[in-house]
Amino acid sequence: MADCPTLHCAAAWLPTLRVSSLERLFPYDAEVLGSIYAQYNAAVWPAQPVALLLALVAVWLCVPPRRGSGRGIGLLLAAGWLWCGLVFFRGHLAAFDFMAPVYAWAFVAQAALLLWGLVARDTLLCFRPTVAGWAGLAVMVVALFGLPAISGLATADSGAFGWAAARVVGVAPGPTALFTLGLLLLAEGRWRWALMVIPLAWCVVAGVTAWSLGVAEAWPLPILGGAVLLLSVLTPRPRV
Amino acid sequence: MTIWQPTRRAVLGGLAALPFAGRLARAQQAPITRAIPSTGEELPVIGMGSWITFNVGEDRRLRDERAEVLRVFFAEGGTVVDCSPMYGTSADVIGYGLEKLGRPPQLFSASKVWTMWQNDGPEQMAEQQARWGVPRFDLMQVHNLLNWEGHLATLRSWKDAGRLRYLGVTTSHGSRHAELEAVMKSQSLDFVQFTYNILDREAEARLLPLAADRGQAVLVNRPFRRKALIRQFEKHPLPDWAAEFDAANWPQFLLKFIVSHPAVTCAIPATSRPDHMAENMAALYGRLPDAALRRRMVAYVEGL
Repeated sequence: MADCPTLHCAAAWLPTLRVSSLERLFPYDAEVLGSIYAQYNAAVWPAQPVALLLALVAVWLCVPPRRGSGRGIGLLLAAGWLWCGLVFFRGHLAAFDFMAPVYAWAFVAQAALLLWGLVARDTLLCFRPTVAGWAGLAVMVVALFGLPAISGLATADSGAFGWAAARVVGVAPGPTALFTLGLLLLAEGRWRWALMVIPLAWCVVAGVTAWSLGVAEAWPLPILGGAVLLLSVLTPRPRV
Repeated sequence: MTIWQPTRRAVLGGLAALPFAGRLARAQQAPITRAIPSTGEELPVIGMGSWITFNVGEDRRLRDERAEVLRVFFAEGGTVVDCSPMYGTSADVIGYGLEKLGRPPQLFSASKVWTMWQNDGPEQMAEQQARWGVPRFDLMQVHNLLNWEGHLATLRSWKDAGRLRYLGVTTSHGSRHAELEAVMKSQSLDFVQFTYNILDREAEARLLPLAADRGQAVLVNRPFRRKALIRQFEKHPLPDWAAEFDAANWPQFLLKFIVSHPAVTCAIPATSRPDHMAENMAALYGRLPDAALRRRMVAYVEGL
């Protein structure tokens, strides 16, 4: 990816961007974004049910607490972020979007961070019946089932793609970022902050998408991302 | 003497026939053209851009819809089609449409080179040619002034070798007009491309007079600020006096303002809809506003 010409161009172009021209971040409209996901989903099938199953395994690993759960969950999450970076952004979206190589780098970097923060350090990651615990579970449920449903129904309402364009955790960036944030609400130790930066940044990108393209299905990310950040600040956990 | 009293059916029938009447009337009119200063070659003053609108990938339904947009464009007298490697799959979709339409001979193909490195330019331009399916581009521009020194050297050598007909530079950022002005002053260019519309009129002060002075053709991008200007104005009535320059709707009002500036060669609005393309292309015909009407147009929209 280092010699990708559009990566250099995007890097040169980004400083010229202004808040008033954020729509220039997206060289497609909402209908084409639906088509992009529909084409991608068809190309990678049946990766979606496999990824969904692996995400459920990650939930199972943290409820109830198990020895080494952080390592297992870290591996599963890193696989999802790596897939999104290499297969979705680099392999599919790059044909449409000059910013895709930038996003690909960010997702691969997050995979590396997860391997370092959860696998190498074996960070404790388990459900406890606290506000943060229940909120984390709720965010994960939205990522697993809510976002695919919203994206399927929203695009069905506005265009021709419907469920074919549904965003699924582990293979699409939005649900993957949200699912990760839900899990990190259960994490202990200060390393979770470093692991939250890129997922939260993706929630911001999703918010800009929702605002500038009128993509209703992208709104849950900035809203729930903000809630996760707030809860993380307000509910201190043991410093491991 | 019998007095004809219009019935509802007669009125509706007449309204339905209006587009055909307009097309018939236009068939008897010549499109408005401007000469490229460096050669005198005439270009229709309305062309088409492809930012966002043609980036639809392999989706067959969307590709066919865009091919229909192209068909309407050529049928209504258009020739200038503009694209860039920055626009994702747009070049492939334009190539698909051109192939489907049997390679219209009137096409004036305009693309851009957009890479940091001069050495990557030739490969990128050759790739764009292949994606469009054209043997050479009529116009190749340095996109957003990115490494313009290096790429202009390449473009000059390509032009000398007959691998392109015209060369130029572009920017779509108002904040870079000073840099563009410096390039326009120091370089020999056939074309420049920048933003100009009824609300973004900074170009009137320096860039447009400079282009006229230097003999550089002007392509105008973002004529509607994407769709923002149409959305902003369409809730207001079109003034009656728009008929004095044959503008029947807001897109034509906005386009005729742009192309009535004597230094403008061609405006390149983008659309994904054939009906909107037909509306845009109607601005290619009829009268243009004079200087007094242009002032009135500005005063009217600023008062909305």
